[in-house]
Amino acid sequence: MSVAPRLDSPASAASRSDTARRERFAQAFEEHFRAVSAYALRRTTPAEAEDAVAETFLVAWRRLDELPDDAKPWLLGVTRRVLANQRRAAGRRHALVEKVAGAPAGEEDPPRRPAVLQALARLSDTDREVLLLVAWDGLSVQEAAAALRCTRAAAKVRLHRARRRFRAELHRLERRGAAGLPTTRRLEECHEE
Amino acid sequence: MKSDRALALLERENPIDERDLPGADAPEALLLRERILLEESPRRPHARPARGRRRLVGVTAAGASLAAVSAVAGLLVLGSPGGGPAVEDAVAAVKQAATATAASADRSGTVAVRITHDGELWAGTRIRWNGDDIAASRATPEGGRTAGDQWRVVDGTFYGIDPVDGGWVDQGSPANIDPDSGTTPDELLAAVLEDVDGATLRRLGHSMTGLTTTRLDDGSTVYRGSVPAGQIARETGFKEGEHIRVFPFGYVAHGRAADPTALLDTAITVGEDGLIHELAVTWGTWAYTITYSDLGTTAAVVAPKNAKSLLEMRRIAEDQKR
Repeated sequence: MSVAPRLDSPASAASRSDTARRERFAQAFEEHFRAVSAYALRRTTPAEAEDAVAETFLVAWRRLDELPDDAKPWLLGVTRRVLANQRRAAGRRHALVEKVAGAPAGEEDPPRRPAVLQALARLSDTDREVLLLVAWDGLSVQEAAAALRCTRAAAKVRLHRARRRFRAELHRLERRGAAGLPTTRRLEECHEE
Repeated sequence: MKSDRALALLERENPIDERDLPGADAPEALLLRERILLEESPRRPHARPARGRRRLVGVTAAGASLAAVSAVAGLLVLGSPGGGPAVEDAVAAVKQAATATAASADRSGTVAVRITHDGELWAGTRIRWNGDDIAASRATPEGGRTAGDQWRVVDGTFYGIDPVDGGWVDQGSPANIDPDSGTTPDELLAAVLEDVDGATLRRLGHSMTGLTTTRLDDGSTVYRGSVPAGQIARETGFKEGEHIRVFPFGYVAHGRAADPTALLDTAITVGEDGLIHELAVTWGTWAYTITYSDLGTTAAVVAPKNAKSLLEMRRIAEDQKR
């Protein structure tokens, strides 16, 4: 006995497609909500992080067709851009730099922070981002490349350079600390170097 | 110092342990998820809008009420004679084109910005981007190949033109250049991406009044209306103690366009492919035009060959002084 293929009406096919899309989004949301929240909270204030997480998943929903199977780096890349837009809109410097440096630039006597965070604050945005994607967000080089929207080779080079500069900064700060010199400086001074 | 130690120290300073955060099943997360799912169903990028459809944006059953509210809000914002189904369709079409353009431009694209005064080119820039890399070349009435006429940022390095011999110079990190001015390469790229990401275009679509639609012979459609200058050039920078209004792609608003409430004539051209091809704003004798091309297909930006190192040039100059 042959069975004739069942033909869906366009409406029912669209409905099934819609359900599949919702399930796909829900799965990505469930799997990566914590990672996206953590990424944002590491880089900005809780209120702005909340906005950034909402915006990230809204973008993911609107661009669901572009969401790769390994969605985490893609989502973190979107969050990165959303945070950059927030900073730009607010016309202020990098919140993460303020966070890790211990105080907004301009404060007379910022609290002392571990040398490792001071070294981190002295890196360029590019160096800091690739380093933290690996060290704090737990991405592989391949995943960091996807988050940064660059090739694996470019991410590898960026990470290599960032690690080298970070080690050098940390080493310098630790030597200063050992010599009893102040290790905390204003961010402007870092830029001038 | 061993690299492992430095990185281990850094890992130890991680301020957030993901496992301590509320999960996707927390009430606030569930609420967020449901709010997002009430949004319009995502459309496939690059898909052509069906010609002649009454509604260009499909809505889910769950989102139908929300869409209805949005449509009413759109009409209220328009508040102009001639509002009604045609206007509603036009607003939806502009929004949809903005979304499609944003999707196509996510990774790469090219824009040409021209500002003319009395029909004469006053300033112009062509910008290409691919990932985080960006290249700009300036078109001015004077022309020439002087400092600032061309620059590129490739893999985090800024390349500019040597004003002496017109050759390329590796100038190091873009972060060294006039930080927080709203016009550094990093900020410009952020502006390009924000503007092309659809936010600016959707904002213009939302706030356009007196909307008219013209179908051109080549199949493209021009949506024309008035938009408050503040919606086109928002306060996005801070320079010399003053907030500045920066147009899309780095030009600072001036004249009537500097008054946020002034209504400027705005035309958005949507091609037959459903993508926005041109945005034109005019006021008085001034015209400002952005033309989009090669969205998603712009080639990688490459570092210029034989670029001299600025640091090396400085070192040589200091040696010569000695």
